[in-house]
Amino acid sequence: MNVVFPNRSPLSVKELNHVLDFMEPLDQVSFSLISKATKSIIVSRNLFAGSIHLFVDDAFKISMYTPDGKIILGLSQKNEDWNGGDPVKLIAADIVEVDHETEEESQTYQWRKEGFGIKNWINHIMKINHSQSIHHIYFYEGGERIDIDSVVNAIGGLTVNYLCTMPGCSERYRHLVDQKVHVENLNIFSNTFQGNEEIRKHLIQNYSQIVDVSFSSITFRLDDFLMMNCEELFTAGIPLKTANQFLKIWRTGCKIRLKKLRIGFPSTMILDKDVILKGIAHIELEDNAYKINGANGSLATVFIDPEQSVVEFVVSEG
Amino acid sequence: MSVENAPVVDVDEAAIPVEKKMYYRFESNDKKEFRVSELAIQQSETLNRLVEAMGYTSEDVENKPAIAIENIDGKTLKLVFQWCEHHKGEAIPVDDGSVPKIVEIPEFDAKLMDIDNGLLFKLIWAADYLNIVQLLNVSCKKVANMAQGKTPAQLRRVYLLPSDEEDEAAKRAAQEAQDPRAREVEEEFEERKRQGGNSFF
Repeated sequence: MNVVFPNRSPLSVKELNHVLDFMEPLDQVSFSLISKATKSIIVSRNLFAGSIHLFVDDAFKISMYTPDGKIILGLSQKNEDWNGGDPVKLIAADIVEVDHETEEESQTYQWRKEGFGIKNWINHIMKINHSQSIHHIYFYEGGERIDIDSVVNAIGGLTVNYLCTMPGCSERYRHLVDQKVHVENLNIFSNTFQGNEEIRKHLIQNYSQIVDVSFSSITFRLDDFLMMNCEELFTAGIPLKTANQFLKIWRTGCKIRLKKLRIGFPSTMILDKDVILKGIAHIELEDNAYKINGANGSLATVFIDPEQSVVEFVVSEG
Repeated sequence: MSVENAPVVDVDEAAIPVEKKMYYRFESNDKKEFRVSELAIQQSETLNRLVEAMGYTSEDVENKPAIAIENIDGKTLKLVFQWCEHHKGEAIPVDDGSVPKIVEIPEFDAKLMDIDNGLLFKLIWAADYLNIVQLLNVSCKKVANMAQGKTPAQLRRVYLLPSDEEDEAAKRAAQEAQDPRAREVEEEFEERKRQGGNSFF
């Protein structure tokens, strides 16, 4: 009796997939860069699906998450000898430095991909992560040496969700970034700013979402809510009493664009529902969730989460 | 090749029940014959099903021709059966779906797989088609380990994978082989372009 098996060729897609089942995530990223065919194998495996971040520092870098840690690729030349003169154009690195950080260790590798520019690298990383957008772009002090227009050109056509200018950036650089880089949302690191007035300038801009990661160093006033142009604000800088005043104003039908407000509090603080909802008619929906009615049939829910020390206000109608 | 001269896989006699000592005969595509114990065959789902379906008696095994396994050469099949004999009676692992999969390569397997990459890839192929789960696991683990810290260009060489250009050339060649007229049309098109024609039609 003869048993006939199909003719073999060097490792088929099926066999490569078996091998990839045992391969470290970093090596799988390297494998994805061999050819279009290997990229498509890695894409089909759905191993990577984390958020992608860009960093503008002494070099232009991109990061992605892997099941065992994080990979950071330095996509541009470093410009280490910049003397503070005119910013230099962003130029793709011939050899990309790849930092692989896991809980146990951090190692650096050097990869080269013929014909790949900065945009090719970004698109490749996005593709293997099934990502439609860049989650954050961070501007650091060291980024001042890179010409901002060439950065804008490198990210042109991409959807970038959040802009962050990090502490240490000069005011001039921050203004330049604000002026040139247009993104959907903003992360605020308060000590980047000269004061609350600077921050308020951002509140009136057309960001969809503002996340204040300064943890309560900004004092929000009632007026701020009235002039705010964003739809979502995540912050920690609002006293319970101000939150109560905000809810009262919202109920009057005052034109407030804000649809979602999430306020974090110190874990030691007691989130007193009677202070938050003082003088506001409400219906308890379930544990720690309260429905309140606004003007013209609008409806919102206030969630008080003592475990996470968070109060959340979400407009569901109106 | 006669059975007497065939390469015989070492057999651990003590591990085989005396009353059920049956050895199947297999032949590779280069006519090398192997005697493999019934218990060792159980490591291969494909071969196990095959011999069950054949229902051979001890006499059949001796008197009928060896079961020919085409497309697997003697060198590869010898490794496969050596592995099966060494691991006979062991439980076949069940895939839990986790990635990356964790597997330890035992010393015996490591020595067995101390071979050139070409033969190692053949071993993976054979383990896959004969459905020998643990042999596939350890051989794939070995090949995966070869990728550690390699650049894309180094990986391409290790795995003998084609570049984009080679892929495209192979695709074109396959298309042309399927449709010889396509080449003629392309040549005609190029010729007309050379002659300065704007339109092919």
